[in-house]
Amino acid sequence: MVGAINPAGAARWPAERIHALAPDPASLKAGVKLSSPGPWSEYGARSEAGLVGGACKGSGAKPYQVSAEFPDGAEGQPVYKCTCPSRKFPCKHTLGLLLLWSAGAVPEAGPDAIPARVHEWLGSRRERAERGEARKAAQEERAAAQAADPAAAARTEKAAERRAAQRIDRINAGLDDLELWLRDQVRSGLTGLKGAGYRPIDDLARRLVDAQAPGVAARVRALASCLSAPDWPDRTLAEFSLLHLLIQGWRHRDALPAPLAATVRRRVGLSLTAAEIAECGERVSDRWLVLGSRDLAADKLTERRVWLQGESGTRIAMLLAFAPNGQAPGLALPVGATLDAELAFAPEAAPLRAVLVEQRDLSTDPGRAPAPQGGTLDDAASAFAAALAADPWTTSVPAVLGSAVPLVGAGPGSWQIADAKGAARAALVAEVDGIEPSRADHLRHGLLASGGGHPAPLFGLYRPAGMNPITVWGDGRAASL
Amino acid sequence: MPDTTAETAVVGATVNPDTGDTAGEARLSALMERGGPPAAVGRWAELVSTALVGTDRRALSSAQPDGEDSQDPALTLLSLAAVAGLVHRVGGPPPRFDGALPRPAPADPRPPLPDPAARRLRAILDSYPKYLPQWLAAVRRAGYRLPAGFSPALLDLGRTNTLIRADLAVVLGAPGRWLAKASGNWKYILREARETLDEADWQGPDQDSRLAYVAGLYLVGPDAARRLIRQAWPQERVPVKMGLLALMSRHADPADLPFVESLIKDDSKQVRGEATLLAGSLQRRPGRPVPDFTAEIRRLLSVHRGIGRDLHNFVMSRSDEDWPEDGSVLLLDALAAHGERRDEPGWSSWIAEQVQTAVGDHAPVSVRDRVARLVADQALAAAAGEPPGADFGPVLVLLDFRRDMLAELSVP
Repeated sequence: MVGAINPAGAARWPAERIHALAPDPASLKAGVKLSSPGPWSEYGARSEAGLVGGACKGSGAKPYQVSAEFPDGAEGQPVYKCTCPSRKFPCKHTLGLLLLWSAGAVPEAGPDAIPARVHEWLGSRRERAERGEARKAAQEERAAAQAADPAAAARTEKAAERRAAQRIDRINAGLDDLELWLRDQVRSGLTGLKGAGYRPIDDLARRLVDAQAPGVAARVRALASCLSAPDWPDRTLAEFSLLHLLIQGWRHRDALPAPLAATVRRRVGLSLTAAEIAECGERVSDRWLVLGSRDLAADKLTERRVWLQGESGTRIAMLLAFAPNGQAPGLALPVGATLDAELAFAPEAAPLRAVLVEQRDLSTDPGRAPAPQGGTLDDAASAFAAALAADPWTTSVPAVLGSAVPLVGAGPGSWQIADAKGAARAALVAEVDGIEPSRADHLRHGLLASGGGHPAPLFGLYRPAGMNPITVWGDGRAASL
Repeated sequence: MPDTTAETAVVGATVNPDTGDTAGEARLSALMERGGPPAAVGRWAELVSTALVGTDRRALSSAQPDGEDSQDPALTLLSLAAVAGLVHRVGGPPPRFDGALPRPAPADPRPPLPDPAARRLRAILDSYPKYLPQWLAAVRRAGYRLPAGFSPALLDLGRTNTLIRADLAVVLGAPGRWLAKASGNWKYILREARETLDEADWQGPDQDSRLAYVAGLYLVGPDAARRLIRQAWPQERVPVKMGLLALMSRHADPADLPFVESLIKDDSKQVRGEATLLAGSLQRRPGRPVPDFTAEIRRLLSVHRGIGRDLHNFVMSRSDEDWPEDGSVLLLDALAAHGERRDEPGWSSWIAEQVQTAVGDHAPVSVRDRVARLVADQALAAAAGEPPGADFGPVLVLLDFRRDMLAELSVP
């Protein structure tokens, strides 16, 4: 049933890419359940037109109508529509249909078989897109008009400057308060803070959120876990001193080299937008190997981090995507795939974050994943030291070990990673932010099973306390841990 | 290791004296210029203890920045800590590893599982765990090795699901046994039958391998296994005896009863307890053979009162085996005929659904086309305005899933 009209074709996606679209594991599970032909009727695809659609039997009398379109061809992100009331996006019906399509089980349909509703949807989507473009054009026109009218341009510029200055004032005031608070704690002794519970920390963090310094607020909130650690005096003082350093860096940011100033601004909470990074960042074109991916669930947002390694060097880039909880962050890059793309690196003291400027081709073959270029643990330690030298607030660096072997420990905390090439070892750090502790066991056992105890390439986050594994290569596969 | 370079680089990078940061505004910078880092580096412990009691109560001993009188001692402490802490955070070179590498997993010569089947396993683990036993049995027959990443999840499942253990042990093979040694929870797999029966396992010193040999012997010749147990019993130690009792209980045979009863006087309390339990279950075991599936279905359907609960109970009691085609067809026809008679007592729609699902789960996939016809007939009947009968759509979904699952594993 589905229809055409779209010139951009979409080759069938491998299942791994569709898995990466799922907003959460539960949706994927439910989607897999719907990925057999049974519940579907009137389904069909026009792959060369980038369209898939069908009707899925749900609990109600009326089947849900599902459509998916690849407006930019196979390399672009799909857009979808389902008549079900789920607030997950994409919903399980969409995932089920796409998985079915991926498996080659959705028959190709002629253009005459497009039901009216798909026409309607496509029409309204196109209309919306056109409206959006018209809005953009109007904006540009206005901007052009302003450029022609210096007075108006000056007015808008002034307003923007005023807003930015207001935020700077708020941050300044918030950091003044923070400095006063830090000073009072150190004057009266950290033991007092330890006895006071979380309340003062919480109040301070809220004050900093109001001051529009979310980066500092998050650091302050993390003080609570520093205070409950066994070595809390060391960790609390270390964190205090880093906050102090951040305040100093902020106050003297104009005197700092530009990349370090950008790092300080981001650590405070003034990140560059993706568009700004694309505009001013260093462009690097390469074939990038997808090293690993982690989703971190925060209060209202899910953050997806995807690490890439350039084929022509060993440079690592980190892409970021955010989505409200219940929706999938936009980066559907399966681990082990190779991405031909141009990236722009954020101009920072230790450049790591990057944005996709142009994506040309994504190739994936789960059975024959190319291995990354790996170094030794000493290389990782040097990379960490270099990153810390450039950005004193660094907590860990992404690193690839060329031949790592897990060393089974007697207890969960005593596992280690041996570097067979560099004759060094590091603790296996299994804690993962925002993930339940039982995951730690999965991480260790998955690493041992997938690597088979052979020296294997391993990607993870290195810090002096140990290595947190993310992906291991073995038997031709890249296994996400 | 670049400790010192990192530290001086931070100092240089953080507040660069050359970039015009003058007039003493940057306290940190001032601190650095006085050659702060080397002095601060060794002072971490002192800084921590001072911070703990507070600078109001204890002054920093030395290296107080003179000059800037405005500098608060608390802030001086934090500045010093930022420098001294850096050395802690940058860490040293990783410790050396000069031991021998641990023994890796033995190679598995079997061909790798095809990709569609690997995706199917993901789907089974996530959404259809009830088909795992069937799938494992099919993989075992086909002789594939699994992607190693699945092993931990499967070994975890085998802890509680004893039904899959025998197939799982063979499918995971030697690499699985290698992996199982890493967790105390997975040791059970070492006591399951191996891919080949090797008498050296029985003669060797390893208890798990010896029990695995007996488990394998039970599969090829239960009588030989029983003879071996009786013969070896007096010399065995308690852990082996417990393992043998577990095997006897898995392959329960009323003929074992006299032998098991004789064990109730064993020296070990543990063995006595286990033997008593096993003897009890052997005594309770009905002597009569399990009825033939198809014949029993036919009998229950012909007895009018048998439709409903009795049929349901019988069907559920046979839910750990594959059903013959003729019996499954009888059930399907009965479901199609009785589905509409919602008012008939004892034939609730709940029971009908349960039996339907059981057909989807256990009938041979050869009945799939028959079910597809039923679905088509129903659509025609509904189009003609007839009242809706039992809905076979869900059964078709299950059969399709199992058909594809088995097709992916058939060796070309």
